[in-house]
Order: sequence, then structure tokens, then C-alpha cells
Amino acid sequence: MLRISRQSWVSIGLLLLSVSLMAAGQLCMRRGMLAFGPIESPQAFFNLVWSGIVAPMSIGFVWLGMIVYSIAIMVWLQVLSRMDLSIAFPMMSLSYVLVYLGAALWPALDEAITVGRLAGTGLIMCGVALVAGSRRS
Amino acid sequence: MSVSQIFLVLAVGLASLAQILLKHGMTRAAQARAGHVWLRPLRQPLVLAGMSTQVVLTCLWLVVLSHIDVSLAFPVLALSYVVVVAYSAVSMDEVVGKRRWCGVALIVLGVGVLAYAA
Repeated sequence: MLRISRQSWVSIGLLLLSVSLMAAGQLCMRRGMLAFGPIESPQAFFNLVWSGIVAPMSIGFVWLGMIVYSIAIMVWLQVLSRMDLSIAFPMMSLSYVLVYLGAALWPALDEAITVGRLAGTGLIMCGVALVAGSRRS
Repeated sequence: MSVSQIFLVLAVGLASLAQILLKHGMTRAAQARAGHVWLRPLRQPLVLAGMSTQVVLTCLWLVVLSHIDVSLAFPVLALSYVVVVAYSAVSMDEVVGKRRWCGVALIVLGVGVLAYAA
């Protein structure tokens, strides 16, 4: 069996925290942009930035998502200082899995769960398990 | 190759470069003892360079997505896992065995299936 030291548990915990925050940030930004509507012109992009400044709460979810994502990046840097890059970076793909699950489960986003998406999610998780279980240098 | 295809290849390179810069920066930050552990990274030029690369990548990515279908572009971006793991093995003396390579291959395949299904 793998023996995992306390320090490794902290690293794994930080990695899972960072990946979860990345997914949560993405989902919040998507929620906010759904409410704002599609950006189809430079003018619409300007409107987005402008309303973000003069009426921050009107795109509250976008702001929330950006704040959560920024925290995720700070946590990610701590992960990088503790783990091999060749383990940490592939494991970042867990955030895809969390985003697809979150988008399906959050009623406001309501994205479909399909066999294909479940298969992709399963493959990524198998890959992450292999990477996580591989021998450390 | 069209311009958007060149941009896509560039995006893979930038995504990989960003993580490599961040990793090198954080290795240095871990050696430097000054400052708070959560703020220390922001004093490292390599970390700031990595973050800037990520910002450029995001802009480039939006251009790519406006030309190429996400179901093709997304799996191609996942190739950056291969680039980064190869770099780690060759230049950062990380020991990458068969099992880890198989894991990376499954992840790239999984992203492909996920993008194709979406």
C-alpha cells in the first residue's frame, strides 16, 4: 500500500481545495454571464466592465467568481511549492470534472448530463488516480 | 496552417509555459524566507511572469474560440499536460514512470471525450 505522510496529506488537501475553488469560480462566472447575456460586440464588453464598476451587484456572480478564482490561484501556488509539477498539473484536470458536475447540479445552470460527458469524466478520474498513485521522485 | 490553428498551437505553448514559470518561481519562493508565506509568491518575478502569461493566454484563447469549435480546441489545449510532464521529466529531474504517463494519456483522452460530448 501507499504510505502517505502528513505533509503529503496537506499538499493533497491544498490541491483539492485549489481545484474546487477553480471550479466554483468558473461556475459563478458562468452564472453571472448567463444573467448578463452573451457578449456579441465590443460595446457589450464595455457595458459589462462599466456595470461592474458603477453597479457591482448587477454582475455580483461575475465578481464573486473572479474573487474565488483569485483565491484558487494563490492556493495553487502553494501546491506548486510542495508537489512535483508532473503530478500537480495533470491533477488540475479534476476541475473539468467538477465544472461538468456542478453545471449539471446547479439548477440555475441546468446543463445536461450525457453518457458521453460521464464517460469523459470517468476517464479523467482514472487518469488522475493513476497520476496520484504513481511513484514520487 | 491557418492563423487560428497557429494560435491554437501557441495557446498550448503558453499554457505550458505559464505552469513551468509558476513552478520555477515557487521553487525560488520556497527558498526565500522573507515575507508571509501567502504573499511571498508575489515578490517572485517568475511567478508574476507566469501569471502574465496566463492573462495573455486567456486573451488568445478567446480569439481561438471565436474561430475553432470548442470540441476541437479544448482537447488540443489538454496536450499542455503532456508538454509540462515531459518538461518536468527532462529539465526538472522529476521521475516520471509508466504509470504517470498512462494517467496523463487517460486525462487527455477524457478531456477529448468530454469536449466531443459537449
